[in-house]
Amino acid sequence: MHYLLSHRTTYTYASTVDSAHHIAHLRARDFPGQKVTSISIVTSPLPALATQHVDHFGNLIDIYRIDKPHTRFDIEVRAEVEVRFPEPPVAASTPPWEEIRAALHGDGFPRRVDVSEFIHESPLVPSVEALRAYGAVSLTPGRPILEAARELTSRIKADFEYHPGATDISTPLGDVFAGKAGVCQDFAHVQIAALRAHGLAAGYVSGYIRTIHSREEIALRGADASHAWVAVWCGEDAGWVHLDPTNDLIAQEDHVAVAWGRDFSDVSPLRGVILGGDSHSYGVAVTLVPTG
Amino acid sequence: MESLRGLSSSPASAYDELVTGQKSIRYHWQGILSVIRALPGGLGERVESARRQLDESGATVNLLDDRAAARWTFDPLPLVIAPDEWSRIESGLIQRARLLDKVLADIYGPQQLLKEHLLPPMLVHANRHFLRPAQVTDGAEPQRHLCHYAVDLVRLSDGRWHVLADHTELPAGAGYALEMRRVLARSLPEAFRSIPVRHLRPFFDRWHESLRSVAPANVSQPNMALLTPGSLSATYFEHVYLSRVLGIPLVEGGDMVARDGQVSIKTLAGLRPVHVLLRRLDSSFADPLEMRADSALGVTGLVEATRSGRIALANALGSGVVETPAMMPFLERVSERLLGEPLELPSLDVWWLGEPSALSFALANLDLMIVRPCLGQDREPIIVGMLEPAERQALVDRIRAQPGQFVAQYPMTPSLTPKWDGQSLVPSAVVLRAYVVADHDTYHVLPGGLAREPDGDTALRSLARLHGTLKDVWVLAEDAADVQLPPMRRFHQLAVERSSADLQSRVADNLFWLGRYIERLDNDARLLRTTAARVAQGAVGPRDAVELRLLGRLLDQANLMDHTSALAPPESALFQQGLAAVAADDRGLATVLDGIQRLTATMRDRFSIDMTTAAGPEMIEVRKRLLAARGNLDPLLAALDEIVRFVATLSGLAQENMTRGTGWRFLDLGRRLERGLHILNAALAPFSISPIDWDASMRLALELCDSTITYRTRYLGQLQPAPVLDLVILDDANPRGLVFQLRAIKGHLDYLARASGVTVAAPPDSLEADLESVVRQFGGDEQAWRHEGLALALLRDVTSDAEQHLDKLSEAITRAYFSHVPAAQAVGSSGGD
Repeated sequence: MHYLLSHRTTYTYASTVDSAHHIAHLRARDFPGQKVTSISIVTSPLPALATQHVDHFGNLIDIYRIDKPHTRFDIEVRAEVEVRFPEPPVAASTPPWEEIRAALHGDGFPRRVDVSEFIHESPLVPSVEALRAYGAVSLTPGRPILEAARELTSRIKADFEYHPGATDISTPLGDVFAGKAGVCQDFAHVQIAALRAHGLAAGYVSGYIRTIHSREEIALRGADASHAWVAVWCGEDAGWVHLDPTNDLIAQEDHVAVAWGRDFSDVSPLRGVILGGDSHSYGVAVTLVPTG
Repeated sequence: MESLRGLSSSPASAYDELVTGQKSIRYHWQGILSVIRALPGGLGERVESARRQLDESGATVNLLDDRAAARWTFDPLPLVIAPDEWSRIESGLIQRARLLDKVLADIYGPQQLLKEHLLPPMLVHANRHFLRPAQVTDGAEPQRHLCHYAVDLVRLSDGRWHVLADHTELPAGAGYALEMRRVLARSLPEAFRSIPVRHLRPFFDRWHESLRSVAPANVSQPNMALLTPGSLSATYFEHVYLSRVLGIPLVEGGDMVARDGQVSIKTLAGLRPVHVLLRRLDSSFADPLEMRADSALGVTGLVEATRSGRIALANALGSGVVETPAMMPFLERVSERLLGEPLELPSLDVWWLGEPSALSFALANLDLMIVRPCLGQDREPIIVGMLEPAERQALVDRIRAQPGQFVAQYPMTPSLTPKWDGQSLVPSAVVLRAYVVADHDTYHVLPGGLAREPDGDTALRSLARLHGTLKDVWVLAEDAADVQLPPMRRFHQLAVERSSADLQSRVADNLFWLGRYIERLDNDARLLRTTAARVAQGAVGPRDAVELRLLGRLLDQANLMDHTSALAPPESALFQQGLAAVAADDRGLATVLDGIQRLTATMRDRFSIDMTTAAGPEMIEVRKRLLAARGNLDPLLAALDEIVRFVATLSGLAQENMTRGTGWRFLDLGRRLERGLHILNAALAPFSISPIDWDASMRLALELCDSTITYRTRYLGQLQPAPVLDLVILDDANPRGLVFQLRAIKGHLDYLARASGVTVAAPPDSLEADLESVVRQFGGDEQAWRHEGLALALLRDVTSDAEQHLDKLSEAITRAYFSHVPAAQAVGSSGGD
């Protein structure tokens, strides 16, 4: 599927901001199954300094410094992206999850260093006993990894209420789990924690989801905003499989990924430090148009 | 505790630093022992003098940190190390520093060590000191990750020194070592005359060179600074001390801004680029943009500036990742791989429980072992043998759940060294902290260090902290000629500078307010003294009653007494109780004393030891006496006298010891401004009553301006308003008069405008002319002024005019010179829906 993407974020400040630094994880990158054919980012006011880097996870970050006084900051990404995530493997034929865990642990020296990084606790995904128990329901002995992970995805969709405003980014994961409500990032963190509690590798993917399904016209949750889901490691053959607990889906061609990391804190779309400004409000507008 | 006794190996098996197996004194200890034996007054009095010096310098305790635990004591007996012994240690430390620098370069670079299974990846990925933003993917690689380094060493029963801990993030204590040596050299000079003890000072010169060497390549005269978290830091004393020894300014994150990849210090004259920061701030706080967003201690954009190669941090960001004891079991193999050499200095035996074989070994021997979390924030050792059964089970569960988060080791038996217990020498366990700095392609080791007696029953307790008993380390030279000081620090041409405008805005701000607070303290103390002296006389006559009512109003206005008691009749118990409570926490005096203490503590790097002592320990004493005086007028008066004298001491020191640069200008500007306001608000306030009672007003005005004696000498005690007002307002030779303050203020503002290029307007000259013409109104005969309502109104107008000018001036100075940047705040979008 080929998409045209536009993603605009606007900060409006209550008083003048004298200067600002922003760091953005907004520049969509290539992933297996995803190719970014063109991308550009524009800000207003224009930055005094703009730099680009590749971060630890291979994501593209942009850093902006704005020197002139302003009361509003706009940043807009426009991109063309070609997506076709690999056909997921037959769940029943994936290896038992314990086998994956053993390989990731490797008696302290796992073979895949890049994957084993995702088995540890991370800033927003601490180990929570209740989530270990929640994961154990699906991770029964000898069960194929993808079957178990896929069921977990469905359970989260069924057990949690999608409720914007129920949580914010500072809500601890334990509270999110107890409240059984939240938004995409909460669902992703819940699933990541449930998998990692059993020694499995799970990452957080930020991106977008297609608004309109061509025929049925079903609006999917997370449209018109950034979206987030989970990548779970299913062994050397299947690799990372992207699961969307908010919509109970395997990402195929409705999802466009921007960046990934251990949790939201690694890929926060836009973070900044401003001088002045008092309070601020922000607005986000995302359009993801399939073009064939 | 019983079980523990069996645990810790008996000191009988410990290596004895002093005595050989044949019970003879080792050769290298004979010098110090004979010096001590020959001391005429014994060691005791020398110890007292050394301890007093350390207390006074502020080394033993952080002034702003009243936790008793932060204190350490000093033992006069050094740990003496023989030359050949030291050269082995030295060589091993240099090798280890080279190794850890390469390990850091790999961890923050290609991570070959993880891929080749030489280091378990968890030690990096789950390590709180591993900072992903510092990973070099495309930016400039730090020239050197490890610029300086501290190592804790113990000598075990086998007589070999072992590495107990590596300190790579914030290696602390080298400054303490130098200070301790300074003090010991003063209190035990005979020892240094007869024993060839190697000098410490050259190490610090090399350190300075070492910092220069990591500066960006295109900068020939790098500006360097020491980045401190500020005066609340437990090792702030050392930051101040090091910045002096290394000759580089002390800066806080708030003193700097990053613009266009360049980090600069905010000074009075504008931004001054900085190229190298000796980092004593935890890496994770270095930049709220890319590290912890809640950090108010860092510089926004610092990480990006390091990536662009325009500034170097020493040590590089994230250098703490190799501190974990879990690295130790793997270093031998890593050394073979990276250096092609076996490790010269062994590490203590440590088992990382992430390996199944280590885990089962540790679980089988758990009760004899010490377990430590090794990757997170908490790294406190747990002595398994001391745990209750339930606690032990909980620990085993934690270990089984996340074995890779723990290391285990056996209790160790450090060597014994003599210590002074107040009466005699007794053996005590010793841990040696050594210091290393980068020196071109290699490293250089401080020939000395800090020795300390580890706290608690097992030497593993409180490893990283500089608590307990500290002692100097004497590395002996082969022969006395080696003790000659090597050549001075390499010569770098410095541009001659006088009274520079490089003063940091924050420091200027602090000095200005310190000036104001010191003056306010003086004024408050005089006001209270004037009042208390009158009350103490007992019988209150009609004349005293008028004065005391006026004083009560002033005390109320200055918040020195609570409103109700200040306005109560002076002879009432209420008034006297209020007066007795002046030192209470919520009163003005406490606020002022707090302010002075806080500001002098935060500016220890700007003042001489004498000044900080006056403002620190001496002031704490005065304050105690003030509190003790509660309810009793005689001791209160004595304490107030002391405060007035204390202010005089401080003023004298500032006047005689501070160069007349921008710093002193701000201090004095604060004082002049505050004194001007005091004259207007306090000294002239009594004139607002009916002129019938002006005898009281005049007496008070003279007393509050400390001008009574001058007046009496000039006018033989006859009180008239024109001469009184002339003395307290117009006389430009009276340092307690208003015009004197106005002219001094103008002089300072002119100077600052020239030095910094930033101009602040002084109160207009017309103000002085107005004051003069008003004072002339009171020149007539007594009948005239006693009934002259107009002159009174004019006086009121012109004083309120002057007051407004001074208030506005304070604001203008703040706007023009001080860092009035609003506090930074974090903004961010949510994760999406």
